[in-house]
Amino acid sequence: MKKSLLSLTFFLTLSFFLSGLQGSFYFLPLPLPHFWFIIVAFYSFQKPLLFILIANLSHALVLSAFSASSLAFPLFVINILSFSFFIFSQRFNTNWSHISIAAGLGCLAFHLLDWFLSGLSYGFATPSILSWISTSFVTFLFAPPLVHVLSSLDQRVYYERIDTLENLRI
Amino acid sequence: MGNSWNWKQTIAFFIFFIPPLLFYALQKKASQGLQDTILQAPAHWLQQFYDGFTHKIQESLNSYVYLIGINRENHELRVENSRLASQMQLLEEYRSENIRLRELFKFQQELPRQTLAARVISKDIFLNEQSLTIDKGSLDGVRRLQGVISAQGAVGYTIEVEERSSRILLLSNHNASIDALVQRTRARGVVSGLSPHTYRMNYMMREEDATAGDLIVTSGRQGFFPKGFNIGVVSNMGPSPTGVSFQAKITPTVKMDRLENVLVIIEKKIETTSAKL
Repeated sequence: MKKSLLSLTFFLTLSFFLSGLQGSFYFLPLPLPHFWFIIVAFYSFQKPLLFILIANLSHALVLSAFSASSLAFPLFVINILSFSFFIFSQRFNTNWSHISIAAGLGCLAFHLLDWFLSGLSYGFATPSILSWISTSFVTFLFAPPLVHVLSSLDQRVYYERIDTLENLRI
Repeated sequence: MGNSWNWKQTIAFFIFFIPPLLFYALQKKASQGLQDTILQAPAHWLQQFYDGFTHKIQESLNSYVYLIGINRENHELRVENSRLASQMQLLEEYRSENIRLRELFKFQQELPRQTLAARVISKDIFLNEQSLTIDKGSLDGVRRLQGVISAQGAVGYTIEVEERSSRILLLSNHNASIDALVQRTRARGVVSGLSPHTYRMNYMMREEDATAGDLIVTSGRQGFFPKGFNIGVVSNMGPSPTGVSFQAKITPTVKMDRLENVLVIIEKKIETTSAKL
Protein backbone atom coordinates (compact mmCIF):
# COMPACT_ATOMS: atom_id res chain seq x y z
CA MET A 1 0.00 0.00 0.00
CA LYS A 2 2.76 2.38 1.01
CA LYS A 3 4.74 1.53 -2.10
CA SER A 4 1.69 2.00 -4.32
CA LEU A 5 1.11 5.41 -2.78
CA LEU A 6 4.74 6.32 -3.31
CA SER A 7 4.57 5.15 -6.90
CA LEU A 8 1.37 7.14 -7.51
CA THR A 9 2.91 10.27 -6.01
CA PHE A 10 5.94 9.83 -8.22
CA PHE A 11 3.82 9.50 -11.40
CA LEU A 12 1.70 12.53 -10.57
CA THR A 13 4.64 14.72 -9.62
CA LEU A 14 6.40 13.90 -12.85
CA SER A 15 3.21 14.54 -14.81
CA PHE A 16 2.75 17.89 -13.02
CA PHE A 17 6.22 19.14 -13.98
CA LEU A 18 6.09 17.81 -17.55
CA SER A 19 2.59 19.21 -18.19
CA GLY A 20 3.76 22.63 -17.00
CA LEU A 21 6.69 22.37 -19.37
CA GLN A 22 4.39 21.42 -22.25
CA GLY A 23 2.22 24.51 -21.66
CA SER A 24 5.21 26.86 -21.36
CA PHE A 25 6.83 25.84 -24.64
CA TYR A 26 3.73 26.85 -26.64
CA PHE A 27 5.77 29.17 -28.88
CA LEU A 28 7.83 26.40 -30.50
CA PRO A 29 7.00 25.80 -34.17
CA LEU A 30 6.92 22.01 -33.57
CA PRO A 31 4.17 20.15 -31.69
CA LEU A 32 5.09 19.06 -28.18
CA PRO A 33 4.41 15.53 -26.93
CA HIS A 34 1.65 14.84 -24.43
CA PHE A 35 3.99 13.62 -21.68
CA TRP A 36 1.07 13.04 -19.34
CA PHE A 37 -0.43 10.55 -21.78
CA ILE A 38 2.77 8.48 -21.83
CA ILE A 39 2.54 8.27 -18.03
CA VAL A 40 -1.13 7.19 -18.30
CA ALA A 41 -0.19 4.50 -20.84
CA PHE A 42 2.67 3.32 -18.63
CA TYR A 43 0.70 2.74 -15.44
CA SER A 44 -2.29 1.35 -17.38
CA PHE A 45 -0.04 -1.39 -18.76
CA GLN A 46 1.90 -2.06 -15.58
CA LYS A 47 -0.44 -1.60 -12.62
CA PRO A 48 -3.57 -3.30 -11.17
CA LEU A 49 -7.00 -1.92 -11.97
CA LEU A 50 -7.68 -0.22 -8.64
CA PHE A 51 -4.37 1.61 -8.84
CA ILE A 52 -5.27 2.75 -12.38
CA LEU A 53 -8.68 4.08 -11.37
CA ILE A 54 -7.27 6.05 -8.43
CA ALA A 55 -4.35 7.26 -10.55
CA ASN A 56 -6.71 8.42 -13.31
CA LEU A 57 -8.80 10.45 -10.90
CA SER A 58 -5.73 12.10 -9.36
CA HIS A 59 -4.18 12.61 -12.77
CA ALA A 60 -7.28 14.39 -14.10
CA LEU A 61 -7.06 16.72 -11.08
CA VAL A 62 -3.45 17.53 -11.89
CA LEU A 63 -4.19 18.13 -15.59
CA SER A 64 -7.17 20.39 -14.91
CA ALA A 65 -4.76 22.81 -13.20
CA PHE A 66 -3.14 23.46 -16.60
CA SER A 67 -6.33 23.66 -18.63
CA ALA A 68 -9.65 25.47 -18.91
CA SER A 69 -11.30 22.08 -19.29
CA SER A 70 -13.63 20.81 -16.56
CA LEU A 71 -12.27 18.00 -14.37
CA ALA A 72 -14.61 15.34 -15.69
CA PHE A 73 -13.75 15.53 -19.37
CA PRO A 74 -10.12 14.33 -19.11
CA LEU A 75 -11.21 11.84 -16.44
CA PHE A 76 -13.85 10.38 -18.73
CA VAL A 77 -11.58 10.00 -21.76
CA ILE A 78 -8.53 8.87 -19.77
CA ASN A 79 -10.65 6.19 -18.05
CA ILE A 80 -11.87 4.78 -21.37
CA LEU A 81 -8.39 4.65 -22.93
CA SER A 82 -6.72 3.49 -19.75
CA PHE A 83 -9.23 0.65 -19.41
CA SER A 84 -8.56 -0.41 -23.02
CA PHE A 85 -4.81 -0.48 -22.31
CA PHE A 86 -5.42 -2.52 -19.16
CA ILE A 87 -7.48 -5.15 -21.03
CA PHE A 88 -4.82 -5.33 -23.75
CA SER A 89 -2.04 -5.81 -21.18
CA GLN A 90 -4.02 -8.60 -19.48
CA ARG A 91 -4.58 -10.50 -22.73
CA PHE A 92 -1.10 -10.22 -24.29
CA ASN A 93 2.51 -10.13 -23.25
CA THR A 94 3.53 -6.50 -23.55
CA ASN A 95 6.78 -4.57 -23.32
CA TRP A 96 7.99 -0.97 -23.70
CA SER A 97 7.37 -0.92 -27.47
CA HIS A 98 3.67 -1.72 -26.94
CA ILE A 99 3.42 1.05 -24.35
CA SER A 100 5.01 3.51 -26.80
CA ILE A 101 2.66 2.52 -29.63
CA ALA A 102 -0.31 2.67 -27.24
CA ALA A 103 0.77 6.15 -26.11
CA GLY A 104 0.88 7.39 -29.72
CA LEU A 105 -2.36 5.76 -30.83
CA GLY A 106 -4.09 6.61 -27.55
CA CYS A 107 -3.13 10.25 -27.97
CA LEU A 108 -4.76 10.23 -31.42
CA ALA A 109 -7.85 8.54 -29.97
CA PHE A 110 -7.94 11.16 -27.20
CA HIS A 111 -8.11 13.99 -29.75
CA LEU A 112 -10.72 12.12 -31.75
CA LEU A 113 -12.90 11.56 -28.68
CA ASP A 114 -12.41 15.17 -27.62
CA TRP A 115 -13.57 16.37 -31.03
CA PHE A 116 -16.49 13.93 -31.13
CA LEU A 117 -17.81 14.69 -27.64
CA SER A 118 -17.45 18.45 -28.14
CA GLY A 119 -19.15 18.08 -31.51
CA LEU A 120 -22.14 16.29 -29.97
CA SER A 121 -22.72 19.21 -27.68
CA TYR A 122 -21.49 22.29 -29.57
CA GLY A 123 -21.62 21.24 -33.24
CA PHE A 124 -18.91 19.55 -35.27
CA ALA A 125 -16.02 21.72 -36.39
CA THR A 126 -13.48 20.87 -39.09
CA PRO A 127 -11.08 18.46 -37.35
CA SER A 128 -7.40 19.45 -37.17
CA ILE A 129 -6.30 15.96 -38.24
CA LEU A 130 -2.77 17.00 -39.24
CA SER A 131 -2.20 18.62 -35.85
CA TRP A 132 -3.53 15.51 -34.06
CA ILE A 133 -1.33 13.17 -36.08
CA SER A 134 1.80 15.28 -35.56
CA THR A 135 1.21 15.53 -31.78
CA SER A 136 0.54 11.79 -31.56
CA PHE A 137 3.64 10.99 -33.58
CA VAL A 138 5.84 13.20 -31.39
CA THR A 139 4.27 11.57 -28.30
CA PHE A 140 5.13 8.16 -29.76
CA LEU A 141 8.74 9.27 -30.41
CA PHE A 142 9.18 10.59 -26.87
CA ALA A 143 7.56 7.53 -25.27
CA PRO A 144 10.48 5.00 -25.23
CA PRO A 145 12.94 7.14 -23.20
CA LEU A 146 10.23 8.28 -20.78
CA VAL A 147 8.94 4.71 -20.40
CA HIS A 148 12.47 3.55 -19.55
CA VAL A 149 12.86 6.30 -16.96
CA LEU A 150 9.45 5.50 -15.45
CA SER A 151 10.17 1.79 -15.48
CA SER A 152 13.57 2.04 -13.79
CA LEU A 153 12.34 4.49 -11.12
CA ASP A 154 9.19 2.47 -10.47
CA GLN A 155 11.26 -0.68 -10.02
CA ARG A 156 13.35 1.08 -7.42
CA VAL A 157 10.22 1.84 -5.46
CA TYR A 158 8.90 -1.73 -5.64
CA TYR A 159 11.90 -3.98 -5.28
CA GLU A 160 14.26 -4.50 -2.37
CA ARG A 161 17.94 -3.90 -2.84
CA ILE A 162 20.03 -7.02 -3.43
CA ASP A 163 22.49 -6.25 -0.65
CA THR A 164 19.58 -6.25 1.82
CA LEU A 165 18.61 -9.73 0.65
CA GLU A 166 22.19 -10.87 1.00
CA ASN A 167 22.28 -9.52 4.53
CA LEU A 168 19.15 -11.46 5.33
CA ARG A 169 20.72 -14.62 3.91
CA ILE A 170 23.80 -14.17 6.08
CA MET B 1 -4.76 -5.28 -4.67
CA GLY B 2 -5.88 -6.39 -8.12
CA ASN B 3 -7.82 -9.46 -6.89
CA SER B 4 -10.21 -7.41 -4.76
CA TRP B 5 -11.55 -5.65 -7.86
CA ASN B 6 -13.52 -7.98 -10.10
CA TRP B 7 -14.98 -7.49 -13.58
CA LYS B 8 -18.56 -6.92 -12.42
CA GLN B 9 -17.42 -4.06 -10.22
CA THR B 10 -15.48 -2.62 -13.13
CA ILE B 11 -18.49 -2.72 -15.43
CA ALA B 12 -20.62 -1.23 -12.65
CA PHE B 13 -18.08 1.58 -12.27
CA PHE B 14 -18.29 2.47 -15.95
CA ILE B 15 -22.09 2.23 -16.06
CA PHE B 16 -22.82 4.24 -12.91
CA PHE B 17 -20.04 6.79 -12.87
CA ILE B 18 -19.22 7.64 -16.44
CA PRO B 19 -22.58 8.96 -17.78
CA PRO B 20 -22.94 11.51 -14.93
CA LEU B 21 -19.33 12.50 -15.45
CA LEU B 22 -20.02 13.00 -19.15
CA PHE B 23 -22.94 15.32 -18.43
CA TYR B 24 -20.80 17.23 -16.00
CA ALA B 25 -17.94 17.36 -18.50
CA LEU B 26 -20.08 19.07 -21.09
CA GLN B 27 -21.05 21.85 -18.73
CA LYS B 28 -19.37 25.20 -18.71
CA LYS B 29 -16.62 25.71 -16.15
CA ALA B 30 -18.48 28.54 -14.45
CA SER B 31 -16.50 29.05 -11.30
CA GLN B 32 -13.26 28.15 -9.60
CA GLY B 33 -13.85 24.89 -7.72
CA LEU B 34 -12.01 23.62 -4.67
CA GLN B 35 -9.67 21.52 -6.79
CA ASP B 36 -8.80 24.67 -8.77
CA THR B 37 -7.82 26.69 -5.74
CA ILE B 38 -5.67 23.86 -4.38
CA LEU B 39 -3.86 22.90 -7.56
CA GLN B 40 -3.83 26.04 -9.62
CA ALA B 41 -1.66 28.08 -7.30
CA PRO B 42 1.30 25.63 -7.62
CA ALA B 43 0.52 25.16 -11.33
CA HIS B 44 0.66 28.91 -11.97
CA TRP B 45 3.81 29.16 -9.87
CA LEU B 46 5.37 26.40 -11.97
CA GLN B 47 4.36 28.13 -15.21
CA GLN B 48 5.95 31.37 -14.03
CA PHE B 49 9.10 29.49 -13.07
CA TYR B 50 9.29 27.89 -16.52
CA ASP B 51 8.53 31.26 -18.10
CA GLY B 52 11.77 32.59 -16.62
CA PHE B 53 13.89 30.53 -18.96
CA THR B 54 11.45 29.83 -21.82
CA HIS B 55 11.20 33.59 -22.38
CA LYS B 56 14.92 33.71 -23.18
CA ILE B 57 14.53 30.76 -25.56
CA GLN B 58 11.55 32.46 -27.17
CA GLU B 59 13.52 35.67 -27.68
CA SER B 60 16.36 33.72 -29.29
CA LEU B 61 13.92 31.88 -31.57
CA ASN B 62 12.25 35.12 -32.62
CA SER B 63 15.64 36.64 -33.33
CA TYR B 64 17.16 33.80 -35.29
CA VAL B 65 15.07 30.74 -36.16
CA TYR B 66 11.96 32.55 -37.40
CA LEU B 67 14.07 34.96 -39.46
CA ILE B 68 16.14 32.33 -41.29
CA GLY B 69 14.67 33.41 -44.65
CA ILE B 70 15.56 37.06 -44.17
CA ASN B 71 18.96 36.09 -42.83
CA ARG B 72 19.64 34.09 -45.99
CA GLU B 73 18.54 36.97 -48.19
CA ASN B 74 20.80 39.37 -46.34
CA HIS B 75 23.61 36.89 -46.58
CA GLU B 76 23.25 36.75 -50.38
CA LEU B 77 23.13 40.54 -50.65
CA ARG B 78 25.95 41.22 -48.23
CA VAL B 79 28.27 38.25 -48.40
CA GLU B 80 31.27 40.41 -47.61
CA ASN B 81 29.84 41.44 -44.24
CA SER B 82 28.01 38.53 -42.60
CA ARG B 83 28.63 39.71 -39.08
CA LEU B 84 26.95 43.02 -39.83
CA ALA B 85 24.04 41.16 -41.41
CA SER B 86 23.43 39.07 -38.30
CA GLN B 87 23.50 42.23 -36.18
CA MET B 88 20.92 43.74 -38.49
CA GLN B 89 18.76 40.68 -37.93
CA LEU B 90 18.80 41.33 -34.24
CA LEU B 91 18.08 45.03 -34.71
CA GLU B 92 15.25 44.19 -37.07
CA GLU B 93 13.66 41.97 -34.44
CA TYR B 94 14.00 44.71 -31.82
CA ARG B 95 12.48 47.20 -34.27
CA SER B 96 9.48 44.98 -34.99
CA GLU B 97 9.00 44.36 -31.28
CA ASN B 98 9.26 48.09 -30.69
CA ILE B 99 6.64 48.80 -33.35
CA ARG B 100 4.33 46.14 -31.95
CA LEU B 101 4.62 47.45 -28.40
CA ARG B 102 4.24 51.05 -29.59
CA GLU B 103 1.06 50.11 -31.45
CA LEU B 104 -0.20 48.38 -28.35
CA PHE B 105 0.67 51.41 -26.22
CA LYS B 106 -1.00 53.83 -28.66
CA PHE B 107 -4.02 51.53 -28.76
CA GLN B 108 -4.03 51.45 -24.96
CA GLN B 109 -4.01 55.29 -24.79
CA GLU B 110 -6.99 55.54 -27.12
CA LEU B 111 -9.14 53.09 -25.18
CA PRO B 112 -12.12 54.39 -23.20
CA ARG B 113 -11.26 52.08 -20.32
CA GLN B 114 -8.20 51.50 -18.21
CA THR B 115 -6.21 48.53 -19.39
CA LEU B 116 -3.31 46.49 -18.14
CA ALA B 117 -0.64 45.11 -20.47
CA ALA B 118 0.19 41.44 -19.90
CA ARG B 119 2.41 38.81 -21.45
CA VAL B 120 1.31 35.31 -22.42
CA ILE B 121 3.27 32.75 -20.39
CA SER B 122 1.53 29.47 -21.11
CA LYS B 123 -1.05 27.71 -23.24
CA ASP B 124 -3.67 25.08 -22.49
CA ILE B 125 -2.25 21.54 -22.54
CA PHE B 126 -5.30 20.17 -24.38
CA LEU B 127 -5.42 21.08 -28.07
CA ASN B 128 -9.16 21.75 -28.26
CA GLU B 129 -9.40 23.65 -25.01
CA GLN B 130 -8.51 27.17 -26.00
CA SER B 131 -7.07 29.08 -23.06
CA LEU B 132 -3.95 31.07 -22.17
CA THR B 133 -2.16 32.02 -18.97
CA ILE B 134 -0.90 35.59 -18.57
CA ASP B 135 1.64 37.02 -16.14
CA LYS B 136 -0.78 39.40 -14.36
CA GLY B 137 -3.05 38.44 -11.47
CA SER B 138 -5.13 39.78 -8.61
CA LEU B 139 -2.19 41.75 -7.18
CA ASP B 140 -2.13 43.74 -10.46
CA GLY B 141 -5.88 44.41 -10.32
CA VAL B 142 -7.13 41.56 -12.50
CA ARG B 143 -10.49 40.04 -11.53
CA ARG B 144 -12.65 37.23 -12.94
CA LEU B 145 -14.70 37.96 -16.07
CA GLN B 146 -12.68 40.92 -17.34
CA GLY B 147 -12.30 41.33 -21.09
CA VAL B 148 -8.95 40.72 -22.77
CA ILE B 149 -8.08 42.40 -26.07
CA SER B 150 -5.20 42.89 -28.47
CA ALA B 151 -4.61 45.53 -31.15
CA GLN B 152 -6.40 43.23 -33.64
CA GLY B 153 -9.57 42.82 -31.55
CA ALA B 154 -11.27 40.88 -28.76
CA VAL B 155 -9.29 37.91 -27.44
CA GLY B 156 -11.33 36.45 -24.57
CA TYR B 157 -11.97 36.97 -20.87
CA THR B 158 -10.43 35.97 -17.57
CA ILE B 159 -11.87 32.90 -15.85
CA GLU B 160 -9.34 32.01 -13.15
CA VAL B 161 -7.26 34.53 -11.25
CA GLU B 162 -4.28 33.79 -9.03
CA GLU B 163 -2.12 36.38 -7.27
CA ARG B 164 0.42 36.79 -10.08
CA SER B 165 -1.16 35.07 -13.05
CA SER B 166 -4.56 34.52 -14.66
CA ARG B 167 -6.16 32.17 -17.14
CA ILE B 168 -7.98 33.58 -20.15
CA LEU B 169 -10.77 31.70 -21.88
CA LEU B 170 -10.24 32.50 -25.57
CA LEU B 171 -13.22 33.29 -27.78
CA SER B 172 -12.23 30.27 -29.87
CA ASN B 173 -13.14 28.01 -26.90
CA HIS B 174 -16.58 26.44 -27.36
CA ASN B 175 -17.47 27.40 -23.78
CA ALA B 176 -16.82 31.12 -24.44
CA SER B 177 -19.66 33.36 -25.61
CA ILE B 178 -20.05 37.12 -26.00
CA ASP B 179 -22.76 39.46 -27.25
CA ALA B 180 -21.94 40.84 -30.71
CA LEU B 181 -23.16 43.06 -33.55
CA VAL B 182 -22.88 42.89 -37.32
CA GLN B 183 -21.25 46.24 -38.03
CA ARG B 184 -23.13 46.91 -41.30
CA THR B 185 -26.69 45.86 -40.36
CA ARG B 186 -26.52 46.29 -36.54
CA ALA B 187 -28.04 42.81 -36.15
CA ARG B 188 -27.28 41.22 -32.79
CA GLY B 189 -26.21 37.70 -31.95
CA VAL B 190 -24.06 35.64 -29.63
CA VAL B 191 -20.56 34.68 -30.74
CA SER B 192 -19.03 31.46 -29.43
CA GLY B 193 -16.01 29.37 -30.36
CA LEU B 194 -16.33 26.50 -32.81
CA SER B 195 -12.71 25.53 -33.49
CA PRO B 196 -9.30 27.19 -32.96
CA HIS B 197 -9.70 29.12 -36.23
CA THR B 198 -13.47 29.59 -36.45
CA TYR B 199 -16.19 31.28 -34.39
CA ARG B 200 -19.92 30.99 -34.79
CA MET B 201 -22.52 33.77 -34.39
CA ASN B 202 -25.90 32.40 -33.30
CA TYR B 203 -29.44 33.69 -32.86
CA MET B 204 -29.71 36.07 -35.82
CA MET B 205 -33.30 36.61 -36.91
CA ARG B 206 -32.99 37.06 -40.70
CA GLU B 207 -30.73 35.71 -43.41
CA GLU B 208 -30.07 39.27 -44.64
CA ASP B 209 -28.61 40.21 -41.25
CA ALA B 210 -25.12 39.20 -42.37
CA THR B 211 -23.34 38.24 -45.57
CA ALA B 212 -19.82 37.00 -46.27
CA GLY B 213 -17.28 39.75 -45.61
CA ASP B 214 -19.30 41.57 -42.92
CA LEU B 215 -17.34 42.65 -39.86
CA ILE B 216 -18.55 41.40 -36.47
CA VAL B 217 -17.85 43.65 -33.47
CA THR B 218 -18.52 43.53 -29.73
CA SER B 219 -21.88 45.04 -28.73
CA GLY B 220 -20.71 46.40 -25.37
CA ARG B 221 -23.80 45.02 -23.63
CA GLN B 222 -22.05 42.23 -21.79
CA GLY B 223 -20.09 44.61 -19.59
CA PHE B 224 -16.54 43.43 -19.83
CA PHE B 225 -15.95 44.49 -23.46
CA PRO B 226 -16.43 48.06 -24.73
CA LYS B 227 -18.54 48.49 -27.86
CA GLY B 228 -16.93 48.19 -31.26
CA PHE B 229 -14.01 45.80 -30.87
CA ASN B 230 -13.37 43.60 -33.88
CA ILE B 231 -14.24 39.94 -33.43
CA GLY B 232 -14.03 38.55 -36.94
CA VAL B 233 -15.29 38.53 -40.51
CA VAL B 234 -18.29 36.49 -41.68
CA SER B 235 -17.22 33.62 -43.96
CA ASN B 236 -20.69 32.14 -44.57
CA MET B 237 -24.26 32.44 -43.37
CA GLY B 238 -27.00 29.84 -43.05
CA PRO B 239 -29.92 28.55 -40.98
CA SER B 240 -29.21 27.02 -37.57
CA PRO B 241 -29.66 23.22 -37.18
CA THR B 242 -33.04 23.77 -35.46
CA GLY B 243 -34.20 26.12 -38.24
CA VAL B 244 -35.45 28.70 -35.75
CA SER B 245 -32.74 31.31 -36.34
CA PHE B 246 -29.70 31.93 -38.53
CA GLN B 247 -26.04 31.50 -37.77
CA ALA B 248 -22.82 32.74 -39.35
CA LYS B 249 -19.36 31.21 -39.39
CA ILE B 250 -16.71 33.80 -38.57
CA THR B 251 -13.00 33.98 -39.30
CA PRO B 252 -11.34 35.64 -36.25
CA THR B 253 -9.37 38.87 -36.70
CA VAL B 254 -6.98 37.82 -33.92
CA LYS B 255 -4.50 35.04 -34.61
CA MET B 256 -4.80 33.25 -31.28
CA ASP B 257 -1.77 31.03 -31.81
CA ARG B 258 0.50 34.07 -32.33
CA LEU B 259 -0.50 36.11 -29.31
CA GLU B 260 2.43 37.35 -27.22
CA ASN B 261 1.08 40.48 -25.52
CA VAL B 262 -2.50 41.32 -24.56
CA LEU B 263 -4.42 44.03 -22.68
CA VAL B 264 -6.79 43.26 -19.81
CA ILE B 265 -9.68 45.72 -19.46
CA ILE B 266 -9.58 46.31 -15.73
CA GLU B 267 -12.05 49.17 -15.20
CA LYS B 268 -13.89 52.10 -16.74
CA LYS B 269 -12.11 55.44 -17.19
CA ILE B 270 -13.75 58.61 -15.91
CA GLU B 271 -15.82 59.24 -19.02
CA THR B 272 -16.59 56.99 -21.95
CA THR B 273 -16.22 59.20 -25.00
CA SER B 274 -15.88 56.72 -27.80
CA ALA B 275 -19.40 55.95 -28.90
CA LYS B 276 -18.12 55.79 -32.44
CA LEU B 277 -20.64 53.20 -33.61
